[in-house]
Amino acid sequence: MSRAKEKPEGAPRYAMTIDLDKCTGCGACMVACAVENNVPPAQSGANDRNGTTLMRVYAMSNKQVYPHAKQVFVPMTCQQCEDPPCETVCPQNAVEYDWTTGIVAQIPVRCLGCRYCMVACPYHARAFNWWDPTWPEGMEATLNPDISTRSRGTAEKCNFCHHRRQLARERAVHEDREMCEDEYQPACVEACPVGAITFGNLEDPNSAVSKGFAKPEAFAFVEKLGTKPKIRYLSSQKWVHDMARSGVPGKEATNG
Amino acid sequence: MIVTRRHILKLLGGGAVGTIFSPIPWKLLRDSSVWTQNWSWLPVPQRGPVGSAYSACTLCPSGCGLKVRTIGGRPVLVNGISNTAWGKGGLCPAGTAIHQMPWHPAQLRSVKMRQSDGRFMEAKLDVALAAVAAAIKGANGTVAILDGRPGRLISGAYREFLAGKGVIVQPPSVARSSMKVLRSLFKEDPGPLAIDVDQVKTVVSFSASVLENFGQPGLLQQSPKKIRTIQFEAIQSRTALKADQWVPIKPGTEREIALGLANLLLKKGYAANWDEEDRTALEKICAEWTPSKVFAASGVDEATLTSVANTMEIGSTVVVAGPDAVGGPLAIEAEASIQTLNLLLGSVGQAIKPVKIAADDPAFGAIDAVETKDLTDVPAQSIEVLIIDMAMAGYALPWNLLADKLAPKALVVSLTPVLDDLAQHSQVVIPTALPFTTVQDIPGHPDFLRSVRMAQAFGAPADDALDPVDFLNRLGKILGINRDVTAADSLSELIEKQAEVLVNAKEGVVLQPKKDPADFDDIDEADELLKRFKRGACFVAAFGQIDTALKFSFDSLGIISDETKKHDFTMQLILTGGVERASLASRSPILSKVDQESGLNPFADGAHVNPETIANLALLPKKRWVVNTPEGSIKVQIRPDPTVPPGVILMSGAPNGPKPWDVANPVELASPGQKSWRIIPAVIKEA
Amino acid sequence: MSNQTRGGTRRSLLSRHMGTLMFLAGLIGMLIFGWVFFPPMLYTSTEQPLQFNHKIHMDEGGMECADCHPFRADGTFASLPTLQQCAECHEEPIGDSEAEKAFIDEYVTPGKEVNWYVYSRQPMNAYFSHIAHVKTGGFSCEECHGDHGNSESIPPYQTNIISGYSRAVGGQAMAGREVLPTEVMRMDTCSDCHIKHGRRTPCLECHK
Repeated sequence: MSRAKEKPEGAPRYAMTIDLDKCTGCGACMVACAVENNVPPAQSGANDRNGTTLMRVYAMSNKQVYPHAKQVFVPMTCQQCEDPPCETVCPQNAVEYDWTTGIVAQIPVRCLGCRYCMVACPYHARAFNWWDPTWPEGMEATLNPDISTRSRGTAEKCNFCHHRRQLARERAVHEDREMCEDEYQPACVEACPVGAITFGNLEDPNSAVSKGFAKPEAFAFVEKLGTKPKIRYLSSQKWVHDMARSGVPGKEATNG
Repeated sequence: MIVTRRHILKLLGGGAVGTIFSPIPWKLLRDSSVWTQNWSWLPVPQRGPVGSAYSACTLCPSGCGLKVRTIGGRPVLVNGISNTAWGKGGLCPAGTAIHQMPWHPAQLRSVKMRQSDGRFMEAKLDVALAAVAAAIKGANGTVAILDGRPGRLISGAYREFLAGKGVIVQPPSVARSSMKVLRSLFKEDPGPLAIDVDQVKTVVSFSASVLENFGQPGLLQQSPKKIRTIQFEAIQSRTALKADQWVPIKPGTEREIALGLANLLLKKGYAANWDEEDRTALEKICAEWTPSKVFAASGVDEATLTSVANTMEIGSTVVVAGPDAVGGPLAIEAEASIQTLNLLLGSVGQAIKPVKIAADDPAFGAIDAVETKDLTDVPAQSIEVLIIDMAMAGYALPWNLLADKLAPKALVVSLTPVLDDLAQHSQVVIPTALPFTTVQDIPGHPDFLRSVRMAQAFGAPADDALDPVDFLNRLGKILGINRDVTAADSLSELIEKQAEVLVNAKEGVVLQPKKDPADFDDIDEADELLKRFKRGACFVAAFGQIDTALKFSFDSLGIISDETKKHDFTMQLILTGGVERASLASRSPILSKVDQESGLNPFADGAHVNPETIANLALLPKKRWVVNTPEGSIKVQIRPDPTVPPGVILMSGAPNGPKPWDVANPVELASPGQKSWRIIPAVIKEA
Repeated sequence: MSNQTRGGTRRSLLSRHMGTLMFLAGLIGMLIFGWVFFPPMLYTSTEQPLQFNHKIHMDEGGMECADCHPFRADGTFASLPTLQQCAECHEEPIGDSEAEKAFIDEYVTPGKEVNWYVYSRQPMNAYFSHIAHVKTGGFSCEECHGDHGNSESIPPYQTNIISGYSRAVGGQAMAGREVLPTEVMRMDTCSDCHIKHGRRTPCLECHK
């Protein structure tokens, strides 16, 4: 698929860097994402495999014993691939690579719930609404009108808080100016207390993400699958890079 | 003319063709599919104009600043603000969801009193107050108020209420905070102290979560200068994983290491300009802690100890310890030994001028007439009436420690918004306003920073929620107490009075978000100060010199607080956790995202054990296991965790309450009489 | 059936063509039902809580659309005016209409917001930016909403019983042939217009 052909002149491509040296695994990004995207509290049967978590923090360990054990915390969200497998497999066209922003759009209202996209995603970044959303009585007053609520039976994933871009553009139009890139930041980026997540336009060579992508300590998870993810993780620890390359413990050294 | 079945069929056939050419099937299909996209039971978020307001989080002592995004006046999102006296705008997961607190499913909706059969029943406020007043009147033993967050305006009111006839009790995590212990090392109390964070280059931490939620989250990471962190800790906590250097230690050996470091620093001449008597006293205490003895006790080898000591420079290194939100304080001798290092390093250079704010100010109550005690120092079985106010405490408190101090037939009253651990053991439970629904004064971190901020109210508290000032007034009326000094009807009034006191004192500075700091030349009226508080301002007291001479007393280093009894519990249960695991009143249900739907925080029933230990003890996942301690047992799921040393069980706190937290709280395994419950002797047995 | 009775005479015209007649009866019957009687069954109609005369406000009040339906400072569209905006002028009765009196008595005095039914309210998964269309696109209010401004009363609010959408959104005609936003505001309406103006939009542009 040639994305370059469709992309309008000057359109941004949004990307993210996540610094694993800084992330303490506090989970504030998970909570902020749930609050921003109208995700309800976990049902009593929910766990990390069937919960609706658009941003989920994993603990990744180097499989050694104390005191040589090391752990990093990996906030995993939709990698906004340039070549998304989930887009190819969706029978409903509910997933679309947005050529004006680089975001892979998931439209839950069109989804029929076959979960093929969840199978296709190598990052387990997609969540399925096994339950209808229910909040404690009255808490619906805290819902964000910039996002809909989704019924059970639909798949969903991170959309880089695209609604925030819409609001930023409206403000810019009202003030007769261009939108500054800083005005559009997803909820997780704002919430991180240690500043581990940066977000910006990859088309701008001076943006923090472009610089982050160029750093030697930047890597993508299972890059060899060719999905061309737009999230780079930064880590100064070699074992993290090795593990991310293969995804299979024990095969870190080889490329398979 | 006969109408046959064929005719009927043709009629129907014509009808079918007509239907196809009518809009009926197409419209029905189209509209039904639309109907399936918009189920009626899905809540529709309400629209409205976007606004923002400033406030502060009241879930823990840190009181992080909040910028609240409102839509149609309803809060929908909170973010941090980075102007506050200390803080760079980070918020912990609990604070990120504070705007959902007003709809907490465990919110109390009525006064509850325990009946003779042990069950709670709804009661009328008057009946409850009468019972409390009767108990106070008839008390032979002590009447105490457990103030979980001293320094608030209500803390002054509590003192004034008890004047002459009661005791203010503080949870040990508050009574033995680092700064309190540091101050106690001075022969004369120097008053509130400050650490100049701008000068700090190195932080040496003893099992404190400095890189997580120590003070405000991200405080050190967001500092403009790179701060080097060295973490001494038994488990590889998040801080240990992120620190520049992690030194593994045997659990509970912080004191030995601190004294060993002090020994080395003394040899380097760090106490050269101290009083000779003080220096000699400290040298005597530290002399036995040679590097080899330290190694034998704690497992820290000589090379590591020496290299850390060499990194610790006068004037730019700070040593940090302090209570864990769930695991509680270190033993006092450990904390004192650690703070002694700060004296050697000269990290304590500035005093904060004791501006008369609230509880300090005699105008707010007869503070001297009321004794303040660390809970663990209260004689056993001496309290007859106990009123518990753990709002904003941010620390878990084991019930067993409290229970030990209660006389038989003691009356325990809990002032709380949710039926939390301590309330479940109380006789009378009086609902107060949930966080975020009430104004609240936020004093600076206890004994550390003298600052004042204000949290605003969004929405209204439950109908039955009682303002604590109102509670004291009503109780006082029944008891016939004359209250004319702090005479106020509500917390808001107290806050207004405080603003007047600050404006008249004319000391200190007012920091404001996105604006230059203001002083009291600009702000000359209480109303103006209150207006600024509502816009996120923070009052900070001025700095000054330490008035008292630098003479020290090292008696507390020699205390042995907990006897080591002989027992068969061969493992060590370490309790740890952040503020959001300390109490039910600090968690919105959305935190279940992190608890249940990620592998991050050990769910309440998770006992994290080293994989080798699991193999050695054959702790197979298909069997059921129980952690036994001298005080009781708790059912657990065993989770292999390579960041935990062999022989150690790591558990975190579990705010008690409705599912999914409906499990026993490991904090309740602390022994009464124990001064520190960070490490509890334990063993794992099959259930 | 044969065209002869048992008696040998030819059956009547009616008998002979009964089949065809039946077919036509069914056909025409259903067509009439489908086109004439069925449409009103689909919709419920509710009156707005108050009547409102746009024309008076524009002519005698000298107002324009943007006076009551402005853009806020952050560029979002303020939709319907709040009670406070109306009460700025209508604390006391200005004219002598029943509706105004009812408004003041039931809403202004007790401080209750009017629960207007919004004709063009899209479902919650659709996002529409008024400022992008009005300011950047140069559309006037009438082009999509019709000549509301010159109406002397506001029509009842009709909803489709099955889908729940307002008739202004779901479309008036049964044949579904409308293309103008004044008649229908479905997704096709928006995307057709976008394509016509050469602005092909990605899904996320309009969905949230």
